[in-house]
Amino acid sequence: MATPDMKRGSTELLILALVEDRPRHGYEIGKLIEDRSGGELAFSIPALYPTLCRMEDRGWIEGRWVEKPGTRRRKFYTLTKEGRKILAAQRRDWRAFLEAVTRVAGLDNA
Amino acid sequence: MPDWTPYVRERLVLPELTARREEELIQEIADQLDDVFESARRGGAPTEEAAAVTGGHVRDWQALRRDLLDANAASRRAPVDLWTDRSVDAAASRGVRGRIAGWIDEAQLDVLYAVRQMRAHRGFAGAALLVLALGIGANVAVFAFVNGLLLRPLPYPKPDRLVAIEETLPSDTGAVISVSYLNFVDWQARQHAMDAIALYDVANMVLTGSGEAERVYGSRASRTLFGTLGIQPALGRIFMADEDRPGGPPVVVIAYDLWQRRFSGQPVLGRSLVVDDVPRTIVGVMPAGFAFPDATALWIPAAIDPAVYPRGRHSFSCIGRLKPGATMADAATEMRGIAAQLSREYPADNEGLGAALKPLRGNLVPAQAALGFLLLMGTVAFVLLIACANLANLMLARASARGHEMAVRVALGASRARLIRQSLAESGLLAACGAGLGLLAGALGRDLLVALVPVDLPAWLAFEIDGAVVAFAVLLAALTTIIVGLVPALRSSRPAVATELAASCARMAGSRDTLRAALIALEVALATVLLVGSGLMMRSLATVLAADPGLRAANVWTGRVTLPQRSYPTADHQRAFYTRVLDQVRALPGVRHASAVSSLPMSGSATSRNVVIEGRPPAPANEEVLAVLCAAMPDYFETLGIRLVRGRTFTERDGVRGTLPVAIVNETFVKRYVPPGDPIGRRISFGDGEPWMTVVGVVADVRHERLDADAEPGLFVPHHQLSADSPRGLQTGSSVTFVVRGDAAPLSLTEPIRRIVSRIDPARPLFGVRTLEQVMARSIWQSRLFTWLFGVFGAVALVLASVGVYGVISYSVTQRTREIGLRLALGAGRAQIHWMVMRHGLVMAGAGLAVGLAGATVVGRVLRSWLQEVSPTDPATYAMVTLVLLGAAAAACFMPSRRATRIDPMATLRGQ
Repeated sequence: MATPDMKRGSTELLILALVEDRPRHGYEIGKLIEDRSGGELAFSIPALYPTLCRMEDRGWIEGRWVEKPGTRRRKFYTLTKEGRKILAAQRRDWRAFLEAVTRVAGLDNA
Repeated sequence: MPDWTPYVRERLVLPELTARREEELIQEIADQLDDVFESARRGGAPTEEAAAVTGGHVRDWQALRRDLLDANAASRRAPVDLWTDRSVDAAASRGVRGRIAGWIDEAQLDVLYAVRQMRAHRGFAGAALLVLALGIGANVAVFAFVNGLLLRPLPYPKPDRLVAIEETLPSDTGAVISVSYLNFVDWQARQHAMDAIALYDVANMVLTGSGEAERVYGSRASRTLFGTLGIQPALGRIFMADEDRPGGPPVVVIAYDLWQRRFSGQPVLGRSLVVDDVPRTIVGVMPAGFAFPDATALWIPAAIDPAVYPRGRHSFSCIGRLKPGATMADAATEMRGIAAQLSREYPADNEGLGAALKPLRGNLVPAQAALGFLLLMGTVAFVLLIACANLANLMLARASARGHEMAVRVALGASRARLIRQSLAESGLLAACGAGLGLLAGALGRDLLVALVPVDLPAWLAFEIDGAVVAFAVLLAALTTIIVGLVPALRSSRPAVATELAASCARMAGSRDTLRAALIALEVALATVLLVGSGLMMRSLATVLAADPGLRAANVWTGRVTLPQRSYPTADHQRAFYTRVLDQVRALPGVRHASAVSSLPMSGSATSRNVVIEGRPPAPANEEVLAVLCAAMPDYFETLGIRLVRGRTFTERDGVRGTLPVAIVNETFVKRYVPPGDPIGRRISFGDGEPWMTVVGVVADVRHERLDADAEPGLFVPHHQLSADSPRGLQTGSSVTFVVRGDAAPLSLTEPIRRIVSRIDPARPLFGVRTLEQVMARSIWQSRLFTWLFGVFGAVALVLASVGVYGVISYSVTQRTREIGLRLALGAGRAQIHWMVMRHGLVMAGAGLAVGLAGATVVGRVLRSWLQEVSPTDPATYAMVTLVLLGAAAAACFMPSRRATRIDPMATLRGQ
């Protein structure tokens, strides 16, 4: 089970990765993280939402209110050019980090 | 699906962020909670469980708040100037334009907030809108009338320069009389303050010739009339000087409507129109909408013959147009001087007569109607005020419920101005929507009012929803905004922060409710005034309707004809016509009596004459001995069922040439004028050598003007006795009203009578056909209409005030639940609690009632002129209103007080 600290550190990467292909709204992002991690990573609003705000503030993602007929107005987030660079950098860093941790901690053999 | 926005807004307060950003965050988090809730529901959780799951999703709102503030560093507000509530840095850098943009930005947001509030509280918003739409609608409808009657300028160029000129009687009562033709001629020659003055009168005239015989209003006018009003004909010309003198060429100018109706808009100039049997050449057509003075279809040259209209005969109306630069006071001074000269030059006719000027605008509306509509305006304003007080109270209650939120916002640095603006935005939005709906409702109400007015309205009178009415609605909306929004805004923007934040601290009822209680007392006071006013009017109307009208109105048919001078030049000719008609009408099946009279009771068409009474000392110079004069055919009193008090009624022989002239008087005449002793056999004259008439009978009083007017001295003479050529006596007037008493359903007589009249003279159309009961009802339509309207608005005020009392008491019971629970736990009886709550409501209502009763005495004095035989301080009305209001207040308090007695002390104490 991932501890809160572990989750917090990885949140930005997860969000960036999820909005890479198409715009998603906040609840969808949280849900996808939960589903794709098999329930290992679950974010409540207080955990996810300020991060979204911060990332938007920094210009990595961009939120846009979308209104579709028959549904509520929702805010969809897309990746900005800046965000794409950050995502690439974070992927590189995380890959290096995970490999290092794997090698050192002998996670392969666990 | 619950809306989570209020839930979030209550828990997440971020005054440090810009308002827009704060709202956005709240919205987005609420959206996500919605999703959580939905997904829980889809997963099969019942609503309560889903709500619990959702609520548990955010455990620590303070932590979320901190995180969001950290995350939104860029959206933080710049430091705020405490006075202006504007960002100092931002304002400095943005300049004026930026400031305005910022202001608009915030205003938009306030409105956005308000819309959300309304959506979130649909029930409240709906009720508030309904109340405001009705309140503003009633005001708009009545204002449309006041505007049309009193404010809208007359449809003539420079209408404020137009004056009405009248002659004044020597008495100091300010009584005015119509203008004498020869005095008018002298005025015209001697006055200089006015560009022109003009003379006119209005009469029923009959059109024959092309098309069916038709009765219209026609005006005899001096040729200066059109120029004085400043109106040019649309086609052709007005009268020439030689046409406006006796024996001049017979011409006529027609109204646009008549041209369209009777001539289908075909070329008419030079064509002939037979007016009262005189063929006249049409020389002009006036523009559409022109029908001066009221609803006139044609104008013929006055062409007055001084032999028929000597100086002593006052028959005309007169208007003038002030010269540029001349004031009305100048003109009035000059006219008084001329009148004084004339009174020296012609003492026999003009002794003591003066002249008076008034703005034409004011003179066209009866003072009674003007007063009625002004009172009605006050009434609907009261109703709106009560509605506003109610809404302000509801907003206050809501503001208290949101007190915690407000306190947090203030504690965190939100400025007062910001909170006040938001509250005003809410009431402003309500008021704006209310005014929009109110304009629609007002237009409908105006149509309803117009439909309730049974008389033909003058052409210049239009009750349009014009700029003034819309401006009025906007003004009302603004006032409503302030009244409804400002009180709660000021209250909620300075909550006692410490108290509010100690949320568990039990609240005791008391000082916090003072404002609400004052508003309720105000509502009750206003409702009291309205109820007393309408109660007095109702009592007065009931008195009038219950009073003996002096006649038996059931089953009496009435209808008028006019006989023009040309075809019926003498009394003998007229008599022959009336007698033939009456003989044939009496032969109709179901007819019991038939007669004719020069003016019907309660038709408002009575004419008064000065009389001299044998044996009575001459009246002082400043006192008029006036009697309403009616010329009646035989069988008149029997037909109308007018009670004979003494003597006899007219017979066929009365008035026949060679017999002794006779007269019948009414009881008021005897009481007021006849010296003690038997009135029968006493002689009366019109003075100035007119023959003496012997009184042969006394009849019961019948109101001449209106059913609710005071009884006036009345004098009846046989129709036959009058001579059509006597200038000083009663001219037989060209119009009579036939009256017929039948067995039942009087209006079924109309067609047979119409056929009889038309057989005898096809050019005499029958008009004004009504039953006598309809004539009576019409005579008091104003009292009836206003009584009805005051009654309706009084009832509305009562309902609104009761709802207000209920709302406040109910709210206070909710607020005091713990206190009441504690009292019950400490041994207070249910009856005690019941009484405590009731007393709270009754004290408020009682205070309002006391103030209202005092105010009602003022209103009663204003109403005095409307009241018949009811004192403006009628104790029965005051007592009744007191009972009704206290009853309503008690009823309004009853449910909440019962709820208070059912509070479970254990439950509330556990809640503690």
